[in-house]
Amino acid sequence: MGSLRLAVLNIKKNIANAKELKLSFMITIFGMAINNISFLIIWYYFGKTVGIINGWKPLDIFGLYGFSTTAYGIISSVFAGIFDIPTYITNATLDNFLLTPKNILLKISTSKVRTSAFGDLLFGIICFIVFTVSNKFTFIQYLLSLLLIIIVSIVFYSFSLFSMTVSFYLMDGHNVSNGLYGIFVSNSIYHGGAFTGILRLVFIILVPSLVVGALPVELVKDFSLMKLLVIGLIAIFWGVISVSFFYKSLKRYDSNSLFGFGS
Amino acid sequence: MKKIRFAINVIKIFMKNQVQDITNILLDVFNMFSRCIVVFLLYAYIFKLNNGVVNGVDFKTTIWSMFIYFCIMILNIRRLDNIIMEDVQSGNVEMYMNKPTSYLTLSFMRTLGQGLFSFLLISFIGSIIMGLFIGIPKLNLVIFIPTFILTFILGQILGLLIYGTIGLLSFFVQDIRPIHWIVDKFVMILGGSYLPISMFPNFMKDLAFISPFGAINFASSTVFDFWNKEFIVRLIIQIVWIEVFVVILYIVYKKSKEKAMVNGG
Repeated sequence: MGSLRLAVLNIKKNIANAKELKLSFMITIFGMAINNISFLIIWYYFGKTVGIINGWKPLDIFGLYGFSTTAYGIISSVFAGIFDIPTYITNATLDNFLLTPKNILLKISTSKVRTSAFGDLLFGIICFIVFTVSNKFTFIQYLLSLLLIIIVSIVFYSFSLFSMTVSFYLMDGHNVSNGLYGIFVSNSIYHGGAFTGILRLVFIILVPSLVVGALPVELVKDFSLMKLLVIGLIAIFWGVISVSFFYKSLKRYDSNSLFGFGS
Repeated sequence: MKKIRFAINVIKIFMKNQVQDITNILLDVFNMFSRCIVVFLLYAYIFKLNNGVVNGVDFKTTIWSMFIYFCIMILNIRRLDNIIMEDVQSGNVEMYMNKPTSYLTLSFMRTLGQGLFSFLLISFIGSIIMGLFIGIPKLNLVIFIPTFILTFILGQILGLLIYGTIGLLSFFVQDIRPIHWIVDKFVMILGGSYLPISMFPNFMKDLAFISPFGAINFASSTVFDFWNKEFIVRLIIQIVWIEVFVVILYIVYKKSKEKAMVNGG
């Protein structure tokens, strides 16, 4: 409980810090939202050119971005610290987190906010509203969507953590971690209808890109308890794997990896 | 001549540095491979649904166009603005600017040197694999080879000028990343990254044709039939944009230098 209170305080402090640079804060948020619109344009016209693919209509792309960028926005805005794990390892600044009490992972996760991710969050919510209005959602579908956003956010956090943790095993792990994370994110915003066969399985199980975007869209449009269970189980699987992988890898950490004389 | 030798030396140094880092090269290869596999399988499926042809263009031509785009991305001149921003934020830029060599030339060559080895390696191996597994599209080689080389070089020069200008804006704006994202997305989309050029709606085709962001990646259009008719106009467009951005960059650099000297003094 104490760790949670500390995490909330951390987040509050980080947001207050970011807000101090008001102009930069606003430009970054709206810049990112505008930046995301470009993807919508691409996939909307893609849908219009090739028609309906595996039941995916052009407007469904709003649902894909609604789920994926909302989850990305939530995790990357307030838990942005996990993306700095490779830097903390290289700079040996992980010591700061290890030498104090409370939950290490929570402290690292909330050590930073990413201002641009608030833009993604804003964009994701707008997309989600467009998607729900265009599909005339029922109350149950709204509730299901909220549940899915929570599950999807867990998957997003878990796989991001997993990718960043890989850097414990490499000399300069930034690039490998970011490369792995890049594969996960870039495929989560691809048109969901085009993933079939083995490719679909790979991006559900091995790299859960489809779980954070395409699968939730398909589920809210055509509910199936089986699909919900699969998504839930994948979230639990990646949650457990990533956290245990992080703590196991943490044992490899040694601040002596930093060469230098004082600071 | 001395300046050219200096530029080549800088590229060589950064290239040698990159060659030492095998992990990064392997990662570049892996990234390129995974990206290509996903995109190719996706579009193979889409083209199959449409009987092999979308908007009058076949799968082979479309995939080669996307492959050329991905190869250009490996060169990664997009990192130039970030390199400049880091120099500005760390204060190193003032040290560089006081040296007799031009800071911009140094940054340009540094950016090229960092990506050149991966670019050459992956393009060479990738082209062979593409040729073996996808096949080679019908090309008029007399036009294709010289114009491809020319448009590729002009595109990269234009890219360096645009990203260099964005980088120098960090003297005036606290955080240039939002500008980078927006410009970068234009470059990405109009180059045919996610959506192949053959699937562009008309307004995007016009935008890719006339805007500087589209002109950076004209090389990815060289495999299409329309290239044989349009290459002269497209090369002229690239040259015009290069001239425009040389002027813009010169003005921004001059202003930046004044600002650096004020802050440094």
